[in-house]
Amino acid sequence: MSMRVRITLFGLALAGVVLLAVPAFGGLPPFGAIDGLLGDALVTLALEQRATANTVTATMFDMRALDTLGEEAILFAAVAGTSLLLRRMRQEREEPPDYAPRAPQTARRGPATRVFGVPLIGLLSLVGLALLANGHTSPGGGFQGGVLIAGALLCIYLLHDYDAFDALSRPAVLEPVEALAIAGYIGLGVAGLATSSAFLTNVLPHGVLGRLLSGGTIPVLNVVTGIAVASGVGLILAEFAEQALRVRED
Amino acid sequence: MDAVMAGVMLLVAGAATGVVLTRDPLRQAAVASGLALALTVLFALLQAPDVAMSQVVVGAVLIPAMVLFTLAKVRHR
Repeated sequence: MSMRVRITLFGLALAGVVLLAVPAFGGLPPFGAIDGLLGDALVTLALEQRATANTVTATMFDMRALDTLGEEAILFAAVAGTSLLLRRMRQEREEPPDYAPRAPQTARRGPATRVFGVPLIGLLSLVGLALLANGHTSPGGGFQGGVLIAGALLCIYLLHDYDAFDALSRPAVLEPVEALAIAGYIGLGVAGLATSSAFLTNVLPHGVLGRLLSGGTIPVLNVVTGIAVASGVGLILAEFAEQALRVRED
Repeated sequence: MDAVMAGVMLLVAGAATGVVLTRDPLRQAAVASGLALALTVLFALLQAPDVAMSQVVVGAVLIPAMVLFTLAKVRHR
């Protein structure tokens, strides 16, 4: 099929899509003007019965907490799959980080980069922890804070050197942390089973709206989810960095 | 649909077209980071701040980092 035929076919298909899409988009209700009963019920439930201001976080960690456990299982499977795929094969060899062809990428960065970079790493970690801790009173939550902390971990490699990044992110350090965090999530669910009659029920006192300790189990689940996400993404980055900087075929 | 929303949507469309039209993978990673930033602005404008926070880290930092590590591994062969 020649290029001209392909472009003609694409033009016909594009015309058809545009003919259908324009009336479809025009017939939508204006932004925010839906009449959804479930949305109103969720907002009432989160605000009045759980004392949280962030309905999204309350839905994720209380009303639909089982789905969030499934999402953490997805992250766990991704980390396990990456570790399996990037394992050391028989014909490969792991060099120390400063062996000659890769040395510029793993060497310590210049003074200017480190002077401005190392405080930036601390700032990113603090902002990530703040997002994590305040997930139930302002936008944020466990996933958002967790990926930001993983980003701060990557910045240790980018702005300082590879040895510091490797010391913090090697599998012997991060794998137990991730496993303990996911086990903590399941343990909180079992605590719901022990006191009420449903897995992952909100069993702690709900507190006052706007305080750091409010919403029952929601901030605790936020913290364990953040730790699990940060260590999981850190493990993936550590595997990629090890492959790019240290593994060499014989 | 006011001017700001239309402008941000055009920015996202332009950034996505730029990613597709960039041929070299190294430069494509950088342009994809710009697309993630444009998407973050769009999500924040559509009143979804939680999604925007996740997108800005994953799309602008972590995905280009993984692409760059892969390129470093493949090109050093």
